Amino acid sequence: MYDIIIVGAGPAGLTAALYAARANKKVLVFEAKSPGGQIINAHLVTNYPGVKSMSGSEFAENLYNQVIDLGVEIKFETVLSIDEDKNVITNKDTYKAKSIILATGADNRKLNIENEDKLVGKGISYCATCDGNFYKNKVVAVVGGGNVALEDVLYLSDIVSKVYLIHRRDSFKGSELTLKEIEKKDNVEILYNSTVTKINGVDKVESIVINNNEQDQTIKIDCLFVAIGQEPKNIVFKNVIDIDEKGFINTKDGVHTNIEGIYVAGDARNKLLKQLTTAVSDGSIAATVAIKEMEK
Amino acid sequence: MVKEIKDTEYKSIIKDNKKVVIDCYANWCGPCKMLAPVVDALSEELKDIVFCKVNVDEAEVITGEYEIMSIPTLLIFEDGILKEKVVGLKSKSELEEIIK
Repeated sequence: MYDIIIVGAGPAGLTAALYAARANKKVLVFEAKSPGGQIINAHLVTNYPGVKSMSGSEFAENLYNQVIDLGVEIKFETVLSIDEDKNVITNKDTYKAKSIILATGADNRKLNIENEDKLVGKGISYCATCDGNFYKNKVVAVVGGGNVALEDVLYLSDIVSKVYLIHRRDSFKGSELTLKEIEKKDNVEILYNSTVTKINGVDKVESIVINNNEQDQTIKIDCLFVAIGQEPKNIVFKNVIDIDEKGFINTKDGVHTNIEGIYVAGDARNKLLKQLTTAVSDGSIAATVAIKEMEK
Repeated sequence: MVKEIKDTEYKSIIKDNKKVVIDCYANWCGPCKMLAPVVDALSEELKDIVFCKVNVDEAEVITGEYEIMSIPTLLIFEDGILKEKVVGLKSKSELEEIIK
């Protein structure tokens, strides 16, 4: 029996583990893919108080090592379901805890158009910092309008010959500061009110079709970087946990789910601001509340 | 254990071993770094399979031969022939299924 089982080893889950381990609780963290969460894709973190500039992966690596050094157990297993009695069923076994913290985060949203899945790694990418270097002096496009898309454009503009930034609206949700930096770049062309409707290519991406005000335009590119946001991964909990129509976990106070002893932290929950700062804040609060209520 | 190999070594490794997994990574790739503990765990469990990793910045032959344009990529060889090319992060259970 564990004191706390945490589902997800991103910043929220690992921070919860850090707090719980420092309170001498027996903690188990499940991670289906790799630890670190979405922040591992961030070229630079520049909005975390006290850290002027650090790569996302360095932040994740430090946090992971900090948690491992405290003796937290991390199992790379996929959680298939949980129940009200705090049983956690994975692809390998069933585990029991006094409390559960759901910190499942979110996955990259896909465009869901033809050829997208087929051409991943052949000119379709969801990680500019991973794949940008393979497109030195080539032409690429980034689709999206948030911070990730803008950061990706800025990063890629120093590597490739040209970047198209494609956004479906007439203004950006992402940082104005980053947008100003982008506007200074000669090799970036912004296409507003535009959507990617088609990906052309057999063995690799050759071009994409952009729809702008009902007019189609084909542009030749070598890679399309998709940065259109994230979607939650809470579907496996829906029989037990109250989830909103978009798949995020509902909470009344930002930490409690509808089930006693099951808490939520990070991007998995319905909240206003999904950032590294709020993820670690959620993780620390969830662990503290879980411990307090466990000891009642 | 995951052994770091050089571009020049991989041909003999895939020839001399029944099954080989090569993790193609780079130091500038965050997801690659964070995939490392998962690949380590797989190598501990699947002892009859040889696990290697190669830095794509120093491996023009492998990246050219297998057209690696996205990392992390896992190359899975059986009897010297490429059986699967796994691009991006996958769950450990998915990787187990693919590799076994």
